[in-house]
Amino acid sequence: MIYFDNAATSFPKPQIIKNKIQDIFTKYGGNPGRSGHKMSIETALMVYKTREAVANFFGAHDVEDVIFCLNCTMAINIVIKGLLKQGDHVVISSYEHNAVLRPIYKLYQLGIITYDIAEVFENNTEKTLESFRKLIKKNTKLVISTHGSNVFGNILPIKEISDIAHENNALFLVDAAQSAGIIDINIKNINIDFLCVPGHKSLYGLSGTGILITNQADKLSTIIEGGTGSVSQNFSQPEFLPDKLESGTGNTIGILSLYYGLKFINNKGLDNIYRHEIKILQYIYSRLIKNKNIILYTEFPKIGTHLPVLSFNINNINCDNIIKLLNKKNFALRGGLHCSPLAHKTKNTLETGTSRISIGVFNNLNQAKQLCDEILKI
Amino acid sequence: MQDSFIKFSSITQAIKAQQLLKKLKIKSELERVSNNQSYQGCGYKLKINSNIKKIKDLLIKNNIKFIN
Repeated sequence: MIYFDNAATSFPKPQIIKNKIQDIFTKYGGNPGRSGHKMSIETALMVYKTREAVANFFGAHDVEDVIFCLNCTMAINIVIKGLLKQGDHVVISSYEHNAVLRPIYKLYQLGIITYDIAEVFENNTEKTLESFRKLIKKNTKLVISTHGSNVFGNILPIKEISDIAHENNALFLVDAAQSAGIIDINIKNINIDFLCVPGHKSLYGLSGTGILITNQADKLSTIIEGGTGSVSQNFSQPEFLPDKLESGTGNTIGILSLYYGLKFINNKGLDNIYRHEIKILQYIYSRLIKNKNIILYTEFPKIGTHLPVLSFNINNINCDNIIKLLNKKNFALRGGLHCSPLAHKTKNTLETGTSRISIGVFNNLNQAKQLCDEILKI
Repeated sequence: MQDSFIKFSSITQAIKAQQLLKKLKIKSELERVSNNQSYQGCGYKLKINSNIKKIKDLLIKNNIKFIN
């Protein structure tokens, strides 16, 4: 199978992770932060090393600002449900995934918050920023932006959006589901209050991993309470991090896989990974754009403007059928709405959906050529 | 010098402290404490054979939280 569905989850995982999994199972099988025996302590030390590696990778203020979750969606929910109170207002971008839209909409349905959607203009940063600016109100508590669309790949101007949020005393959440591990994200430089990241996409960890990084956790009420292995006599959840936001036993093996995922990225070089993936995307784009029956929805992808994600359609062919035909030829892609109805609404593809190619570090130009050959035969 | 102990509620803070001391070539041993009133139930302690006041000052300077 030739895999072009890396926006869903990365595959394959790097060899280092396959090599180290056996180690993880045999050496780090204890429950970190719960027991006092050697294996529990060793596992806890390894979890700490991973937390530290994540903190360094994203420029976190402190190691304990790194919170391990089960996925990016959970990280986003911890913030949205923990931060927002009665009467708060939220601004989200018009490219948000359901991981953002659904918890926001739920709070809206309950009459707790109001929200507005800022239209994003692909080739006009100033117009995008203006659409955020004009939606901010006195009671805007939180501004949320995806770093890049999981459907169309366009990158949003998060530094500038961060500035707008903070100028108006709002906090800023970035959904970096598609960009973490591809583009350099420094929390301090961009001034991100809540960074939400999946472990299993371009950080190459196992599924069941996600990360929230924040130095604003004191503003969050907990949405999950439970055992933390600390101050157990207290009926209340601890207030110190990371325990406050990490109840119960996490996906220890998944967390430790992140350590090796980050090692892989650091060894390869983030910039090298991005350039490699965009080069393949540019090749695919250049071939598909020549065919008048193929619909593309973005401009030619470039470093800095696009993630390695491309949506397309073929005239008069349902995207599900495109995916099925390609699957028969051993290509793995995703079709439909990609859990992002807002993005499709923005691009007028809500009725049709799209077929999506999402490139990973292990794809190459030969595979891209084969994919294009097959698409052009449909 | 006799062994001394520094108490932590959080294993993360305990390990952070241990890593800092390791960089300064100060040996410490991490131990779990369960069902102990002074830890409000449970936590971790670092066993150190060094000037405890100096160590605590170091931890405060590096914003590492311990139980006093």
